[in-house]
Amino acid sequence: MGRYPTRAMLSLAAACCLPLMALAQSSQQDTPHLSGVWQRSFPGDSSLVPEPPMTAWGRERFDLARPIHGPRTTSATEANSAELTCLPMGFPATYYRPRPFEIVQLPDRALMLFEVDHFWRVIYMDGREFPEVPLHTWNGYSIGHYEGDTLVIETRHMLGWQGENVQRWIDRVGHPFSDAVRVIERIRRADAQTLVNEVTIDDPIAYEEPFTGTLTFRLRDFEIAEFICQELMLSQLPEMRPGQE
Amino acid sequence: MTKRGLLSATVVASGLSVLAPALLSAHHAISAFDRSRTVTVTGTVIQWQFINPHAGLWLEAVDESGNVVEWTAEFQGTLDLYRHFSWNKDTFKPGDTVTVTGFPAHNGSTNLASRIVVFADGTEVDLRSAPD
Repeated sequence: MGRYPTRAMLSLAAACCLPLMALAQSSQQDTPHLSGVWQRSFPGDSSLVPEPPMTAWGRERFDLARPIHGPRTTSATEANSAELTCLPMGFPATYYRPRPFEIVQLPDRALMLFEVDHFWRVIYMDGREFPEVPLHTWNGYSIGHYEGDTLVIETRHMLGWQGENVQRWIDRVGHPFSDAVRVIERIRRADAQTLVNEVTIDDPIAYEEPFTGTLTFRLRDFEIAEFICQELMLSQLPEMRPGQE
Repeated sequence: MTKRGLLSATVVASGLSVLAPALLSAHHAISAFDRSRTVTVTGTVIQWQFINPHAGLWLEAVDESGNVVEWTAEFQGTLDLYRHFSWNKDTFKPGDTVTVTGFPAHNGSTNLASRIVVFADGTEVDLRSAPD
């Protein structure tokens, strides 16, 4: 055998590799590029919609909420958001914190790495179903898939209402959710610098019908760093409590 | 005797609130501060606490009556300060002379929400320029 490949060998190699290359290219084309560090445009709104259609259950809990943002803003010492005790806020509420997060796209999953409290979220994209026996957690269980240029995420099994003084909201203004909530996110790039997340809340216990609002993020050119909520325990500033920002 | 600092309680009845950037809206406790006026304090650094969600600077200043007064200046969180101004835990050291202009507390306490900082060498940092 000679030192150099023969034409036949090259043809064979091309025949073998071309389909793979085409597949890779196709896969690349089918997967929208959403990776990067994103930060919510600020100040922006503090809720998905001003007046979601609350049930009596939802209204009762909304009336007990004492937020530090929005039209019912109260003092930090009076507020009762879970955020103020440095507990996770779930989704989409986490997005309302003005801290960046990074999206990492892998073949079988997408990751969201959050600067606030250095926590991560896995969005499984391998075709799996939700666990048959739900394990309710602060941030829930997320499954996703791509539809054209859009990453579609469904999240279930989020811990909902926890009590008057450890409130769980879908936003920063006090709209509650129950353990039954389903959150659908449709994430796409509006342009090179802008990420849009169209969020639908489907929670028959807290809301009369599903409703949808939009969150917008801009691409940042820095690395995510570390923002630890409980650092506030060390603060000597007057009238400070965790989670305030 | 070394003049340790001069408190110039320059209460500027200007419309500085129109200059307030978006970051003020982010400020949870901003309701504690009076955005309709500013106070400028020159003093000696006692402590610099570079933590989240808000950094704090403690200054010792001398008021017009010659009394030593302690001021607390509140800032954005560490990452905004780092990313926009390259500030870190060593930006201020005890003994440094610093001038801070900001919004005073509604309750009359010697706290302010910082807007502009002038270092001893004359370097001025306008915190309002942080786009967040």
